[in-house]
Amino acid sequence: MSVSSLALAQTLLNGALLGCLFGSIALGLSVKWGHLGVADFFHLSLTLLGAYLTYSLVTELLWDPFLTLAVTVPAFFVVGVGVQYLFHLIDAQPFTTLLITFALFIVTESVVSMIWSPDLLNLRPLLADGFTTSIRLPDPLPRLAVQPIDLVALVCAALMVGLATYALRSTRAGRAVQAMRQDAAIAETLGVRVLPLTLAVSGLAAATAAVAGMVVSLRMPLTPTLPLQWIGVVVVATMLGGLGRPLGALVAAVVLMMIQNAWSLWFPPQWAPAVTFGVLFLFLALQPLTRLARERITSGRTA
Amino acid sequence: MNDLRDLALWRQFAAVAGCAVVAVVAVPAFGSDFVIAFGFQFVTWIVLALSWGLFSGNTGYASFGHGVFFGIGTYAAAAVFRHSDAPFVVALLVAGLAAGALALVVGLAVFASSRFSGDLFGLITLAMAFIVVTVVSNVAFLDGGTGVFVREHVVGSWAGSSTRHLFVIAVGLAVLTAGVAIATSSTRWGAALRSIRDDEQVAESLGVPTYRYKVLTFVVSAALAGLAGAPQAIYLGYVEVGAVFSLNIPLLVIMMTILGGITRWWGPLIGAASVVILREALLDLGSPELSQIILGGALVVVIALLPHGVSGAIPRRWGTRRRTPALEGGAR
Repeated sequence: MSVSSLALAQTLLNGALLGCLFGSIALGLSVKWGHLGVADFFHLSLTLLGAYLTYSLVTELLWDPFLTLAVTVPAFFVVGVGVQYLFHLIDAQPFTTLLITFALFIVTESVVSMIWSPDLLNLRPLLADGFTTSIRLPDPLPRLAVQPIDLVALVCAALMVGLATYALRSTRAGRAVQAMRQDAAIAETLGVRVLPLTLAVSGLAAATAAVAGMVVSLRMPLTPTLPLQWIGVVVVATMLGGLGRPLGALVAAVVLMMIQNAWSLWFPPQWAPAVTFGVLFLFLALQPLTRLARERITSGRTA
Repeated sequence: MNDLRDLALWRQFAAVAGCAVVAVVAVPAFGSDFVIAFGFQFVTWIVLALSWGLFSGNTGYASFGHGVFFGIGTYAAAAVFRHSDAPFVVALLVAGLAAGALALVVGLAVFASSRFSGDLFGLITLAMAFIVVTVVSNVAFLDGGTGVFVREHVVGSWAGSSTRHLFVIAVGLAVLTAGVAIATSSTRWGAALRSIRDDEQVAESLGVPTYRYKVLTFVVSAALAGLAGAPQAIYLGYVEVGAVFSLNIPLLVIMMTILGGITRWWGPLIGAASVVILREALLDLGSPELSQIILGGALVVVIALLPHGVSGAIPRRWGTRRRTPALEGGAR
């Protein structure tokens, strides 16, 4: 079956932009998993909750979608701090935190379908035309088009991931987080205040879910089971990108979605979810080989 | 194996077998249809909780894939009923073998590297769930997206004629699972598994073949869950991907085991009883969402307050309240 290069380019572009959305969801997960040791399913639920809150504020109070961030971001920051404080109180092991966030994941699904009903809710018909009319790309690529919402996703992802990467690498607090990740006890001895720092990191990670949730509500129809559709891409992107590396997760999410979309051009699209996990298992299977290659190279250098 | 000459062990086996005989005789004879159906579900949950505890409780490798093994058993049995006239025993064996084979493949791959322990193992088993769901809902031989009607294929058979018979089968599986669980509680096998939970590297350096034990136990645990899937297929009558592979199943199984405690083999029994009764009580609320919320909330509370579960809170010898530090290493 032949596919025109235009269709392929458009598919890849759509995949890359959708990947930006997943990358901004993966951001919070990557930071919490990598730096706090919490593999947080609940982060996906928070994103869903953010999307539904945006939907309600826009449809019922007629707020501008961007204005809703003024409410959801601080609220989610508090939630993130609260959950992390609970983990601190019960002195939770990584596995315990995984279980608790898994339980919260399931609870949130039910809470959402109780409050907003399990039916599809679509914000798009209510949006101004500026949000929904496709934009053609400028001259060199005149036949490709993008959705304005996808551009919003791109900007949000670039902003949040850029800020997070900069903060982790170059600020004092970010370096303290890195130190804490390597050895919390020693970091504490050297003056890193671990508890406030973990609470703040968790709060900020949760706050990014509010932004991602806003993009979600603009981008796709909402159902309570959406996180189950995201979980594959988001978790795999987090792992492929390297835990605790937001930029890696974003790149991995973009690549994954491009692969998944391209797959759907040639093969039955209903198999696309399995592609993501196929890539993960391929990556895991290649681990010993990459390690072998790396050891070869380094031993050659030292010899 | 010298451990199997231990008298206390045989006493436990005898107690389990005695309870099972009483259940098999009394429940179908005196119980109403509701009691029998309830009993069947209860016993199935016991099988799932005990078999999850067998691997995940003993080794500390928490698997989110137990629902998948159960579901594969259900689908394997359904496929046997639909495509052949084979008797129930064949479906049962195929169900167990299918689940065990998947666990063997996954286990051989995942346990080969020590990186995939802890939460990473949990997520890999979860990923396995999503792949299996995609495969089952796209392969017409198993399901293909429409669901499978099992009831019409088993009408004439012994197992399909009455829930009483299913109950008897489930009790048999529960006895089998409890037997394996008891065996792990005091044999070398169980001690090896618990040494993996406490410190895998030390265990390995002392000569415990951890890889072999992990793969073997993972397969046994999965196969037991798969066996339980076969009567479940008949009980459900209509098998459908969304219900069979629901994420609630691993959640409930984990909840039962954590609630009951993993430091004794019978912990999951208590957990299964509590959760099943709680779920039954929540049915009266008339809102599946609300009961889901309460169950999930209960799990969070249980994990926070009783990290060792109910059985872990009971002192090991009645009367001595002393808790040695060695016992503290339990639930993770």
